[in-house]
Amino acid sequence: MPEEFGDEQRFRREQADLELLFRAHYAEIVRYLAVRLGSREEASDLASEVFVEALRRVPTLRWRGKPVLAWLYRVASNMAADELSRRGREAPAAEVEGTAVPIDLSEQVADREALVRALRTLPPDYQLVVHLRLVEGYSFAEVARMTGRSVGACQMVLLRAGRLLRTTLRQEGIRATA
Amino acid sequence: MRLREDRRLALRLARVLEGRERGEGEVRELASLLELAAAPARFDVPAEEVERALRRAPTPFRTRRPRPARRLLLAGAAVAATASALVVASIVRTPGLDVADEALAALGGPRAGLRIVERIDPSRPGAFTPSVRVAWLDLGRRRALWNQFAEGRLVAVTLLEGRRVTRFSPLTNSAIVGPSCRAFASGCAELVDPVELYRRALQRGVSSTSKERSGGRPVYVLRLPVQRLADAVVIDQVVTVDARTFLPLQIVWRERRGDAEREFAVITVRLVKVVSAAVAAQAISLTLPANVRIEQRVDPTRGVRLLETRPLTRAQASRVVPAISWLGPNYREPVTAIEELRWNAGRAYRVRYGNSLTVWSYGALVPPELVAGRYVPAKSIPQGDGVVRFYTTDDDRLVAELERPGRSVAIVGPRYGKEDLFAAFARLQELR
Repeated sequence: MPEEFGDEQRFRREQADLELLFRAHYAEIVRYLAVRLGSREEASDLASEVFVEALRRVPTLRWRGKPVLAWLYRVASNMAADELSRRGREAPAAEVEGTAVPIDLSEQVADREALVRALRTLPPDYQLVVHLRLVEGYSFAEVARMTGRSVGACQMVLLRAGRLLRTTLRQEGIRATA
Repeated sequence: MRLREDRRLALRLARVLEGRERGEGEVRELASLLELAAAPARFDVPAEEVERALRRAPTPFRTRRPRPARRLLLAGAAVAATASALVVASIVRTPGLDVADEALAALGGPRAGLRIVERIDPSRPGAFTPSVRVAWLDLGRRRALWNQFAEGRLVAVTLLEGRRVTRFSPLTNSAIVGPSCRAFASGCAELVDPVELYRRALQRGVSSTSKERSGGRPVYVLRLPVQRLADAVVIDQVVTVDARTFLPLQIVWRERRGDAEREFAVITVRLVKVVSAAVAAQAISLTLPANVRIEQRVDPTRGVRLLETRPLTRAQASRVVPAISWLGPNYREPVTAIEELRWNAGRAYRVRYGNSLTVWSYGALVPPELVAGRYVPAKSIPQGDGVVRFYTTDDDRLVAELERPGRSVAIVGPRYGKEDLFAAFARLQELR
């Protein structure tokens, strides 16, 4: 939405002004990590570490057509993967068998939680596209720029993410009604 | 084959998620799943928490930005160029205090939710109707609601949700719904709400800062460069900020043309408050009356092709239903052309007054050449039973438009100021 999204002027400004960078993006990095880690508190801690890394590295970044935010997300994603790996908490896809029953997910709290769990089982790059487009509301063009994919590829990722979610939920015996 | 089908589904899914179509079958099911999965992650991180985290961060984050010398040079250059005293009595640099930083922090940072109550008055009394706007902004999530009042009446309600925009006019009980800002001639004028525009400008820094007293209290006066229009017209904003709270008290829009400078509007900020996402979410909603007349707009930037441009005689033009709007046979210059333009998605009528002024009449499809750059500053001012919105197009023409379902009208004037176009609006009439 900002008019300068992804332009070099904004890149330079954020590179030169880390406080601005922190204020502008801390909240969305926390939201992203909260889903990856499944914990709001741990997300805040890890987000701070992301920005400590930014302090060291952002001033040395070179403009390659991507906003500084793209770099922040990449670091956050890597740190989240390290954290999950270290704690052995990579959530495996559920392997519960059963008959799929149509349920209106919007009215079932327990199943909404299953949906959030299922979201965490998506590949990290899928989670990132879902987060950027559906949580933060970036346009597909912006998501494409941040992830280094084409707009069409980002749309395909969302399609596959949706199908993976559906499969995971069906394994838990849940089928969403449209 | 499968891949091609998936690409088609992926595109449709994207359109459903953007609210541009309802979808069915698998696409609709996946859209529901994705929306539901994403919803819990849309929680708010309050501005206070961000500030706490920032305070805990290593020292360099909290080091006050050394304002580049360039900025002071620019301020000096601006003062010299205008050769006028204006507001900049003196450029003050209070040691250890960066007013722009503090002012931005007072607004909760660049993406915090805001509740704003502002009064917009013309600098020259009578130039346009004063209005009061109550706005809820949660632009980090692309959600916002504006209520605009004039002469004690609610004249317009605008809702932004994701990309979808709904504009409700209570006085005519009509609403215009667009898949995105591009479906409206002025884009989303409210996105450049004076306070929001001021917040954005703060991120780019200020040209000059002076400390003064106003209403018996100390204030900072910030001058922020905003926009350069056609014919070397420059509009900038001068913002008075409370020296204690760093919140804006008044925003003055100034228009410069060559050596001449004049104030255009004065925005008195009655309230500006940082709000949490939860509060904003509750406030940002719009329920339309059951009998409201709704016009569904088409995005003129997607797949719209011009099929025909046809000149009309005055007699032919007078038979068009609904009636074409114009300014009479003469307005500074005589009418030189009346044309019907037909696209694959709709039609519009164009009345030209020489090279100086053009009047457009249109319905569900905004003529593509009227579509503004999305972030070009605009101003909305109530008139009659609607709201006139001013904006510049990508090629720097000035446009004033009045939206009415089925019979919207826009006046394009490359050489006129806002008030000139506003005066032209008062002369609008049906071509009969």
